[in-house]
Amino acid sequence: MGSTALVAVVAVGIAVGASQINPAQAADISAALEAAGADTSGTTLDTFIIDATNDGEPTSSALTFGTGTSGLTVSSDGLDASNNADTGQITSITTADNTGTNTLTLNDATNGDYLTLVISDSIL
Amino acid sequence: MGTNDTNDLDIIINALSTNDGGNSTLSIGRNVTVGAGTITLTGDVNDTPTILFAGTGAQIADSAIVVTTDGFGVLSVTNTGGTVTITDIIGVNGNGLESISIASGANLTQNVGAAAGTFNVVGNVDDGAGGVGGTLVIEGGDSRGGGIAGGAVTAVAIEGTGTNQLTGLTIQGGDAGTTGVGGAVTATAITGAVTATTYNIVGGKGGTGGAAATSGVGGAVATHLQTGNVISAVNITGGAGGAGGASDVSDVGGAGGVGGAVAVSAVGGVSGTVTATSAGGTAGGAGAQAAGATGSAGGAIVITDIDGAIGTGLTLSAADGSWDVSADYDADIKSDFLAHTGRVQAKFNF
Repeated sequence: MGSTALVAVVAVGIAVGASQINPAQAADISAALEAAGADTSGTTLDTFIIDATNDGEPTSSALTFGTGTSGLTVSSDGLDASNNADTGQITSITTADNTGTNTLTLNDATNGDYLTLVISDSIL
Repeated sequence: MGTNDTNDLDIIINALSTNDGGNSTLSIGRNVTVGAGTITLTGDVNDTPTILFAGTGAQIADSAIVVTTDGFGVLSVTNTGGTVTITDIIGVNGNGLESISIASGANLTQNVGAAAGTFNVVGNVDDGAGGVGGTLVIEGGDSRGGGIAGGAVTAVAIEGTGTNQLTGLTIQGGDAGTTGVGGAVTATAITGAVTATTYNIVGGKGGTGGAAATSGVGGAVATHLQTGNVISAVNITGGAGGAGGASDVSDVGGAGGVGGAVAVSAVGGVSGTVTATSAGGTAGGAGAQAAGATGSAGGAIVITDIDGAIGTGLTLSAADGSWDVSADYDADIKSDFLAHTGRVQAKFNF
Protein backbone atom coordinates (compact mmCIF):
# COMPACT_ATOMS: atom_id res chain seq x y z
CA MET A 1 0.00 0.00 0.00
CA GLY A 2 2.86 2.40 0.83
CA SER A 3 0.76 5.14 2.50
CA THR A 4 -0.15 6.07 6.05
CA ALA A 5 -3.37 7.66 7.37
CA LEU A 6 -3.06 9.85 10.39
CA VAL A 7 -6.22 10.67 12.26
CA ALA A 8 -6.26 12.91 15.30
CA VAL A 9 -9.29 13.48 17.39
CA VAL A 10 -9.24 16.26 19.85
CA ALA A 11 -12.13 16.75 22.19
CA VAL A 12 -12.38 19.87 24.23
CA GLY A 13 -15.12 20.21 26.73
CA ILE A 14 -15.93 22.69 29.36
CA ALA A 15 -18.40 21.74 32.00
CA VAL A 16 -20.01 24.52 33.94
CA GLY A 17 -22.38 23.67 36.69
CA ALA A 18 -24.12 25.52 39.44
CA SER A 19 -26.13 23.97 42.12
CA GLN A 20 -28.42 25.87 44.45
CA ILE A 21 -27.55 25.31 48.02
CA ASN A 22 -30.37 25.43 50.54
CA PRO A 23 -33.04 26.84 48.19
CA ALA A 24 -35.95 28.64 49.75
CA GLN A 25 -38.62 26.14 50.68
CA ALA A 26 -42.17 26.74 51.73
CA ALA A 27 -42.21 25.98 55.41
CA ASP A 28 -44.98 25.06 57.78
CA ILE A 29 -44.56 27.62 60.54
CA SER A 30 -47.68 26.59 62.44
CA ALA A 31 -45.77 25.54 65.53
CA ALA A 32 -43.83 28.78 65.63
CA LEU A 33 -47.04 30.78 65.39
CA GLU A 34 -48.61 28.73 68.15
CA ALA A 35 -45.87 29.82 70.53
CA ALA A 36 -45.80 33.37 71.79
CA GLY A 37 -43.05 35.64 70.52
CA ALA A 38 -41.81 37.17 67.31
CA ASP A 39 -41.33 35.11 64.20
CA THR A 40 -39.84 35.83 60.80
CA SER A 41 -41.10 33.87 57.86
CA GLY A 42 -38.85 32.60 55.12
CA THR A 43 -38.29 34.18 51.76
CA THR A 44 -41.13 32.26 50.21
CA LEU A 45 -44.77 31.50 50.91
CA ASP A 46 -45.01 29.72 54.23
CA THR A 47 -48.05 27.95 55.60
CA PHE A 48 -50.08 28.05 58.81
CA ILE A 49 -52.41 25.08 59.18
CA ILE A 50 -54.84 25.53 62.04
CA ASP A 51 -55.48 22.17 63.66
CA ALA A 52 -55.80 20.42 67.00
CA THR A 53 -52.21 21.33 67.90
CA ASN A 54 -51.63 24.80 66.51
CA ASP A 55 -54.04 27.72 66.27
CA GLY A 56 -52.09 30.64 67.70
CA GLU A 57 -54.49 31.14 70.59
CA PRO A 58 -54.37 32.51 73.16
CA THR A 59 -50.84 34.01 73.10
CA SER A 60 -50.02 34.39 69.46
CA SER A 61 -46.94 35.56 67.61
CA ALA A 62 -46.01 38.74 65.81
CA LEU A 63 -44.97 37.74 62.31
CA THR A 64 -42.56 39.59 60.03
CA PHE A 65 -42.34 38.42 56.44
CA GLY A 66 -38.94 37.70 55.01
CA THR A 67 -37.31 39.72 52.28
CA GLY A 68 -38.22 39.38 48.64
CA THR A 69 -41.20 37.32 47.63
CA SER A 70 -42.77 36.15 50.84
CA GLY A 71 -46.03 35.59 52.56
CA LEU A 72 -48.25 33.20 54.42
CA THR A 73 -51.09 30.93 53.43
CA VAL A 74 -53.52 30.04 56.20
CA SER A 75 -55.92 27.11 56.16
CA SER A 76 -57.55 24.69 58.60
CA ASP A 77 -58.37 21.04 58.84
CA GLY A 78 -61.47 21.89 60.85
CA LEU A 79 -59.97 21.12 64.25
CA ASP A 80 -58.93 23.61 66.87
CA ALA A 81 -56.26 23.63 69.56
CA SER A 82 -57.72 25.99 72.16
CA ASN A 83 -60.05 28.83 72.95
CA ASN A 84 -62.41 29.77 70.11
CA ALA A 85 -63.44 27.00 67.77
CA ASP A 86 -62.38 27.27 64.13
CA THR A 87 -60.27 30.31 64.94
CA GLY A 88 -56.58 31.03 64.49
CA GLN A 89 -54.69 34.04 65.75
CA ILE A 90 -51.61 36.06 64.86
CA THR A 91 -50.70 39.18 66.83
CA SER A 92 -49.55 41.29 63.89
CA ILE A 93 -48.10 41.02 60.40
CA THR A 94 -45.33 43.21 59.07
CA THR A 95 -43.94 43.30 55.56
CA ALA A 96 -40.44 44.55 56.07
CA ASP A 97 -39.36 45.42 52.55
CA ASN A 98 -40.52 46.67 49.20
CA THR A 99 -39.24 43.85 47.05
CA GLY A 100 -40.95 40.85 45.52
CA THR A 101 -44.56 39.89 45.92
CA ASN A 102 -45.95 39.78 49.43
CA THR A 103 -49.22 37.99 50.06
CA LEU A 104 -51.33 36.94 53.02
CA THR A 105 -53.90 34.38 51.91
CA LEU A 106 -56.68 33.11 54.15
CA ASN A 107 -58.20 30.01 52.64
CA ASP A 108 -60.95 28.01 54.32
CA ALA A 109 -61.37 24.87 56.37
CA THR A 110 -61.10 21.71 54.34
CA ASN A 111 -63.99 20.05 56.18
CA GLY A 112 -66.59 22.73 55.40
CA ASP A 113 -66.38 24.47 58.75
CA TYR A 114 -66.24 28.24 59.00
CA LEU A 115 -62.75 29.63 59.59
CA THR A 116 -61.73 32.88 61.27
CA LEU A 117 -58.21 34.29 61.42
CA VAL A 118 -57.76 37.04 63.99
CA ILE A 119 -55.00 39.61 63.56
CA SER A 120 -55.29 41.22 66.94
CA ASP A 121 -53.03 44.19 66.13
CA SER A 122 -51.98 45.84 62.87
CA ILE A 123 -51.02 44.73 59.39
CA LEU A 124 -48.18 46.88 58.09
CA MET B 1 -45.27 49.21 54.12
CA GLY B 2 -42.89 51.95 53.12
CA THR B 3 -43.00 53.04 49.51
CA ASN B 4 -46.42 52.88 47.93
CA ASP B 5 -45.69 50.37 45.17
CA THR B 6 -46.60 47.04 43.65
CA ASN B 7 -44.63 45.18 46.30
CA ASP B 8 -46.99 46.16 49.08
CA LEU B 9 -48.80 43.39 50.87
CA ASP B 10 -51.85 41.95 49.18
CA ILE B 11 -54.40 40.17 51.34
CA ILE B 12 -56.64 37.48 49.86
CA ILE B 13 -59.61 35.98 51.67
CA ASN B 14 -60.49 32.94 49.60
CA ALA B 15 -63.52 31.13 50.98
CA LEU B 16 -63.59 29.12 47.77
CA SER B 17 -60.28 27.32 48.20
CA THR B 18 -62.48 24.32 48.95
CA ASN B 19 -65.97 24.81 47.57
CA ASP B 20 -67.76 23.27 50.53
CA GLY B 21 -70.04 25.89 52.03
CA GLY B 22 -67.51 27.12 54.55
CA ASN B 23 -67.02 30.80 55.18
CA SER B 24 -63.72 32.55 55.85
CA THR B 25 -63.33 35.67 57.96
CA LEU B 26 -60.27 37.84 58.52
CA SER B 27 -60.71 39.86 61.71
CA ILE B 28 -58.42 42.85 62.23
CA GLY B 29 -57.87 44.56 65.57
CA ARG B 30 -56.07 47.69 64.50
CA ASN B 31 -54.81 49.34 61.30
CA VAL B 32 -54.06 48.08 57.81
CA THR B 33 -51.23 50.12 56.29
CA VAL B 34 -50.21 48.49 53.05
CA GLY B 35 -50.02 51.35 50.55
CA ALA B 36 -50.95 50.01 47.14
CA GLY B 37 -51.83 46.61 48.58
CA THR B 38 -55.36 45.30 48.34
CA ILE B 39 -57.81 43.14 50.25
CA THR B 40 -59.51 40.75 47.84
CA LEU B 41 -62.65 38.79 48.72
CA THR B 42 -63.29 35.59 46.79
CA GLY B 43 -66.42 33.53 47.39
CA ASP B 44 -69.73 32.30 46.07
CA VAL B 45 -73.29 31.93 47.27
CA ASN B 46 -72.43 29.69 50.23
CA ASP B 47 -68.73 30.35 50.72
CA THR B 48 -68.65 33.86 52.08
CA PRO B 49 -65.42 35.80 52.57
CA THR B 50 -65.61 38.56 55.18
CA ILE B 51 -63.24 41.35 56.14
CA LEU B 52 -64.06 42.31 59.71
CA PHE B 53 -62.89 45.36 61.63
CA ALA B 54 -63.21 44.36 65.25
CA GLY B 55 -60.94 46.70 67.16
CA THR B 56 -61.70 48.75 70.22
CA GLY B 57 -60.43 52.15 69.05
CA ALA B 58 -60.17 54.11 65.82
CA GLN B 59 -58.98 51.99 62.89
CA ILE B 60 -57.65 53.06 59.48
CA ALA B 61 -57.23 50.88 56.41
CA ASP B 62 -55.54 52.24 53.28
CA SER B 63 -56.19 49.21 51.10
CA ALA B 64 -58.80 48.86 48.42
CA ILE B 65 -61.56 46.34 49.15
CA VAL B 66 -61.72 44.28 45.96
CA VAL B 67 -64.42 41.73 45.15
CA THR B 68 -63.64 38.90 42.74
CA THR B 69 -67.23 37.98 41.85
CA ASP B 70 -70.01 40.57 41.96
CA GLY B 71 -72.13 40.20 45.08
CA PHE B 72 -69.96 37.74 47.01
CA GLY B 73 -68.04 39.26 49.90
CA VAL B 74 -68.94 41.08 53.09
CA LEU B 75 -67.46 44.11 54.86
CA SER B 76 -68.30 44.07 58.54
CA VAL B 77 -67.63 46.51 61.39
CA THR B 78 -68.22 45.51 65.01
CA ASN B 79 -65.87 48.09 66.49
CA THR B 80 -67.93 50.42 68.68
CA GLY B 81 -64.89 52.05 70.29
CA GLY B 82 -63.86 54.28 67.38
CA THR B 83 -64.50 55.09 63.75
CA VAL B 84 -63.26 52.68 61.09
CA THR B 85 -61.95 54.72 58.15
CA ILE B 86 -61.15 53.20 54.78
CA THR B 87 -59.22 55.52 52.47
CA ASP B 88 -59.56 53.58 49.25
CA ILE B 89 -62.07 51.80 47.03
CA ILE B 90 -64.89 49.78 48.62
CA GLY B 91 -66.14 47.67 45.74
CA VAL B 92 -66.79 48.84 42.22
CA ASN B 93 -69.67 48.54 39.79
CA GLY B 94 -69.75 44.95 38.53
CA ASN B 95 -67.65 43.76 41.45
CA GLY B 96 -69.59 44.97 44.45
CA LEU B 97 -69.91 43.66 47.95
CA GLU B 98 -72.68 41.31 48.96
CA SER B 99 -73.52 43.54 51.92
CA ILE B 100 -72.05 45.79 54.57
CA SER B 101 -72.83 45.23 58.23
CA ILE B 102 -72.20 47.94 60.80
CA ALA B 103 -73.03 47.06 64.36
CA SER B 104 -75.26 49.40 66.29
CA GLY B 105 -73.03 52.08 67.75
CA ALA B 106 -70.25 51.48 65.23
CA ASN B 107 -69.05 53.94 62.59
CA LEU B 108 -67.71 53.28 59.10
CA THR B 109 -66.29 56.11 56.99
CA GLN B 110 -64.95 56.02 53.47
CA ASN B 111 -62.73 59.05 52.80
CA VAL B 112 -60.68 58.51 49.69
CA GLY B 113 -57.93 61.03 50.29
CA ALA B 114 -56.23 62.30 47.13
CA ALA B 115 -57.03 59.39 44.82
CA ALA B 116 -60.41 58.71 43.26
CA GLY B 117 -62.49 55.84 44.56
CA THR B 118 -65.77 54.01 44.28
CA PHE B 119 -68.32 52.42 46.63
CA ASN B 120 -70.50 49.55 45.51
CA VAL B 121 -72.75 47.18 47.43
CA VAL B 122 -75.03 44.79 45.61
CA GLY B 123 -77.13 44.22 48.72
CA ASN B 124 -77.96 46.47 51.62
CA VAL B 125 -76.37 48.06 54.67
CA ASP B 126 -77.59 47.28 58.19
CA ASP B 127 -76.34 45.60 61.38
CA GLY B 128 -75.88 42.30 59.62
CA ALA B 129 -78.97 40.75 61.13
CA GLY B 130 -81.64 42.86 59.48
CA GLY B 131 -81.67 45.36 62.33
CA VAL B 132 -80.62 48.96 62.72
CA GLY B 133 -76.91 49.41 62.20
CA GLY B 134 -74.54 52.22 63.12
CA THR B 135 -73.40 55.15 61.01
CA LEU B 136 -72.08 55.17 57.44
CA VAL B 137 -70.25 58.18 55.96
CA ILE B 138 -69.14 58.29 52.33
CA GLU B 139 -66.95 61.32 51.69
CA GLY B 140 -64.90 62.78 48.87
CA GLY B 141 -61.33 63.49 49.76
CA ASP B 142 -60.35 66.70 51.48
CA SER B 143 -57.72 68.85 49.79
CA ARG B 144 -54.39 68.54 51.52
CA GLY B 145 -53.33 72.00 50.38
CA GLY B 146 -50.39 72.71 48.13
CA GLY B 147 -52.69 72.57 45.12
CA ILE B 148 -53.49 68.94 45.73
CA ALA B 149 -57.16 68.22 45.12
CA GLY B 150 -59.16 65.78 47.14
CA GLY B 151 -60.08 62.60 45.30
CA ALA B 152 -63.59 62.11 44.01
CA VAL B 153 -65.85 59.21 44.86
CA THR B 154 -66.89 58.73 41.28
CA ALA B 155 -69.69 56.21 41.74
CA VAL B 156 -71.59 55.26 44.86
CA ALA B 157 -74.22 52.55 44.60
CA ILE B 158 -76.17 50.63 47.23
CA GLU B 159 -78.10 48.41 44.89
CA GLY B 160 -80.18 46.19 47.16
CA THR B 161 -83.94 46.56 46.99
CA GLY B 162 -84.33 45.87 50.69
CA THR B 163 -84.22 48.45 53.43
CA ASN B 164 -80.96 50.01 54.53
CA GLN B 165 -81.25 50.39 58.29
CA LEU B 166 -78.78 52.76 59.87
CA THR B 167 -78.51 55.22 62.69
CA GLY B 168 -76.95 57.76 60.37
CA LEU B 169 -76.14 58.01 56.67
CA THR B 170 -74.03 60.86 55.29
CA ILE B 171 -72.95 61.55 51.73
CA GLN B 172 -70.46 64.40 51.75
CA GLY B 173 -68.18 66.28 49.38
CA GLY B 174 -64.61 66.86 50.43
CA ASP B 175 -63.45 70.15 51.90
CA ALA B 176 -61.34 72.44 49.76
CA GLY B 177 -58.07 73.98 50.80
CA THR B 178 -56.69 77.38 50.00
CA THR B 179 -55.08 76.00 46.84
CA GLY B 180 -56.92 72.74 46.14
CA VAL B 181 -60.50 71.75 45.45
CA GLY B 182 -62.42 69.24 47.52
CA GLY B 183 -63.25 65.87 46.06
CA ALA B 184 -66.75 65.45 44.72
CA VAL B 185 -69.16 62.60 45.22
CA THR B 186 -69.91 62.41 41.56
CA ALA B 187 -72.90 60.09 41.34
CA THR B 188 -74.83 58.36 44.08
CA ALA B 189 -77.64 55.86 43.61
CA ILE B 190 -79.39 54.19 46.54
CA THR B 191 -82.04 51.82 45.30
CA GLY B 192 -83.73 50.54 48.42
CA ALA B 193 -85.46 52.33 51.24
CA VAL B 194 -83.50 54.02 54.00
CA THR B 195 -84.53 54.01 57.63
CA ALA B 196 -82.31 56.19 59.76
CA THR B 197 -82.33 58.84 62.44
CA THR B 198 -80.46 61.32 60.26
CA TYR B 199 -79.76 61.27 56.53
CA ASN B 200 -77.30 63.99 55.53
CA ILE B 201 -76.29 65.14 52.06
CA VAL B 202 -73.58 67.74 52.42
CA GLY B 203 -71.41 69.72 50.02
CA GLY B 204 -67.79 70.24 50.95
CA LYS B 205 -66.60 73.48 52.48
CA GLY B 206 -64.96 76.06 50.27
CA GLY B 207 -61.36 76.82 51.02
CA THR B 208 -60.33 79.68 53.23
CA GLY B 209 -58.93 82.61 51.26
CA GLY B 210 -55.19 82.94 51.17
CA ALA B 211 -52.91 85.79 50.18
CA ALA B 212 -54.30 86.56 46.74
CA ALA B 213 -56.02 84.00 44.53
CA THR B 214 -59.52 82.69 45.09
CA SER B 215 -59.48 79.52 47.08
CA GLY B 216 -60.65 76.07 46.12
CA VAL B 217 -64.23 75.03 45.63
CA GLY B 218 -65.74 72.51 48.02
CA GLY B 219 -66.54 69.09 46.65
CA ALA B 220 -70.03 68.74 45.25
CA VAL B 221 -72.52 65.98 45.76
CA ALA B 222 -73.17 66.18 42.07
CA THR B 223 -76.01 63.73 41.53
CA HIS B 224 -77.70 62.01 44.44
CA LEU B 225 -80.52 59.65 43.52
CA GLN B 226 -82.53 58.04 46.33
CA THR B 227 -85.08 55.71 44.81
CA GLY B 228 -86.59 54.03 47.85
CA ASN B 229 -88.65 55.74 50.50
CA VAL B 230 -86.86 57.46 53.35
CA ILE B 231 -87.92 57.27 56.97
CA SER B 232 -85.58 59.82 58.49
CA ALA B 233 -84.93 63.47 58.99
CA VAL B 234 -83.15 64.60 55.83
CA ASN B 235 -80.65 67.43 55.95
CA ILE B 236 -79.51 68.82 52.59
CA THR B 237 -76.67 71.25 53.12
CA GLY B 238 -74.72 73.18 50.52
CA GLY B 239 -71.07 73.44 51.36
CA ALA B 240 -70.19 76.44 53.46
CA GLY B 241 -68.44 79.18 51.52
CA GLY B 242 -64.86 79.78 52.46
CA ALA B 243 -63.92 82.83 54.47
CA GLY B 244 -62.14 85.60 52.61
CA GLY B 245 -58.46 86.13 53.09
CA ALA B 246 -57.31 88.90 55.35
CA SER B 247 -55.87 92.09 53.91
CA ASP B 248 -52.26 92.85 54.61
CA VAL B 249 -49.99 95.82 54.01
CA SER B 250 -49.72 95.25 50.26
CA ASP B 251 -52.98 93.89 48.99
CA VAL B 252 -56.35 92.40 49.67
CA GLY B 253 -56.49 88.72 50.52
CA GLY B 254 -57.96 86.13 48.17
CA ALA B 255 -61.61 85.38 48.14
CA GLY B 256 -62.86 82.30 49.90
CA GLY B 257 -63.80 79.28 47.85
CA VAL B 258 -67.35 78.52 46.91
CA GLY B 259 -69.00 75.77 48.89
CA GLY B 260 -69.77 72.49 47.22
CA ALA B 261 -73.12 72.18 45.50
CA VAL B 262 -75.67 69.48 46.23
CA ALA B 263 -78.10 68.05 43.70
CA VAL B 264 -80.74 65.64 44.96
CA SER B 265 -83.28 63.64 43.05
CA ALA B 266 -85.39 61.74 45.54
CA VAL B 267 -87.90 59.58 43.74
CA GLY B 268 -89.32 58.03 46.85
CA GLY B 269 -91.17 59.90 49.54
CA VAL B 270 -89.69 61.14 52.77
CA SER B 271 -91.26 60.48 56.15
CA GLY B 272 -89.47 63.11 58.14
CA THR B 273 -88.51 66.74 58.01
CA VAL B 274 -86.47 67.85 55.02
CA THR B 275 -84.17 70.76 55.85
CA ALA B 276 -82.16 72.55 53.17
CA THR B 277 -79.44 74.94 54.28
CA SER B 278 -76.67 76.84 52.54
CA ALA B 279 -74.14 79.14 54.14
CA GLY B 280 -71.84 81.77 52.68
CA GLY B 281 -68.36 82.44 53.99
CA THR B 282 -67.44 85.39 56.14
CA ALA B 283 -65.28 88.24 54.91
CA GLY B 284 -61.61 88.30 55.67
CA GLY B 285 -60.24 90.71 58.21
CA ALA B 286 -59.42 94.28 57.24
CA GLY B 287 -55.81 95.30 57.03
CA ALA B 288 -53.76 98.40 56.38
CA GLN B 289 -54.36 98.24 52.62
CA ALA B 290 -58.06 97.61 52.45
CA ALA B 291 -60.89 95.59 53.79
CA GLY B 292 -60.44 91.86 53.75
CA ALA B 293 -61.59 89.83 50.77
CA THR B 294 -65.13 88.71 50.62
CA GLY B 295 -66.25 85.30 51.67
CA SER B 296 -67.72 83.14 48.97
CA ALA B 297 -71.19 81.80 48.46
CA GLY B 298 -72.42 78.63 49.99
CA GLY B 299 -72.99 75.70 47.71
CA ALA B 300 -76.11 75.67 45.59
CA ILE B 301 -78.85 73.20 46.38
CA VAL B 302 -80.95 71.65 43.65
CA ILE B 303 -83.77 69.27 44.53
CA THR B 304 -85.05 67.90 41.27
CA ASP B 305 -88.06 66.01 42.57
CA ILE B 306 -89.55 64.19 45.49
CA ASP B 307 -92.32 62.14 43.97
CA GLY B 308 -93.78 60.84 47.18
CA ALA B 309 -95.03 62.79 50.15
CA ILE B 310 -92.84 64.62 52.63
CA GLY B 311 -94.39 63.36 55.81
CA THR B 312 -93.39 65.86 58.43
CA GLY B 313 -92.58 68.97 56.47
CA LEU B 314 -90.08 70.89 54.47
CA THR B 315 -87.92 73.68 55.86
CA LEU B 316 -85.56 75.94 53.97
CA SER B 317 -83.25 77.94 56.18
CA ALA B 318 -80.55 80.52 55.92
CA ALA B 319 -77.54 79.33 57.81
CA ASP B 320 -77.38 82.51 59.87
CA GLY B 321 -80.95 82.03 61.02
CA SER B 322 -82.20 85.25 59.40
CA TRP B 323 -85.10 83.51 57.67
CA ASP B 324 -86.97 80.21 57.45
CA VAL B 325 -89.59 79.03 55.04
CA SER B 326 -91.48 75.92 56.01
CA ALA B 327 -94.34 73.91 54.56
CA ASP B 328 -96.47 71.22 56.14
CA TYR B 329 -99.18 68.93 54.87
CA ASP B 330 -101.66 66.70 56.70
CA ALA B 331 -104.48 64.44 55.69
CA ASP B 332 -107.34 63.51 58.02
CA ILE B 333 -109.38 60.49 57.01
CA LYS B 334 -112.56 59.44 58.85
CA SER B 335 -115.77 57.71 57.88
CA ASP B 336 -117.30 59.78 55.05
CA PHE B 337 -114.72 62.48 55.72
CA LEU B 338 -111.47 63.38 54.04
CA ALA B 339 -109.59 66.57 54.75
CA HIS B 340 -106.38 67.92 53.29
CA THR B 341 -104.73 70.75 55.15
CA GLY B 342 -101.60 72.60 54.27
CA ARG B 343 -99.56 75.41 55.70
CA VAL B 344 -96.79 77.58 54.33
CA GLN B 345 -94.99 79.82 56.77
CA ALA B 346 -92.24 82.35 56.32
CA LYS B 347 -90.26 83.81 59.20
CA PHE B 348 -87.87 86.73 59.11
CA ASN B 349 -85.88 87.03 62.25
CA PHE B 350 -84.49 90.40 63.33
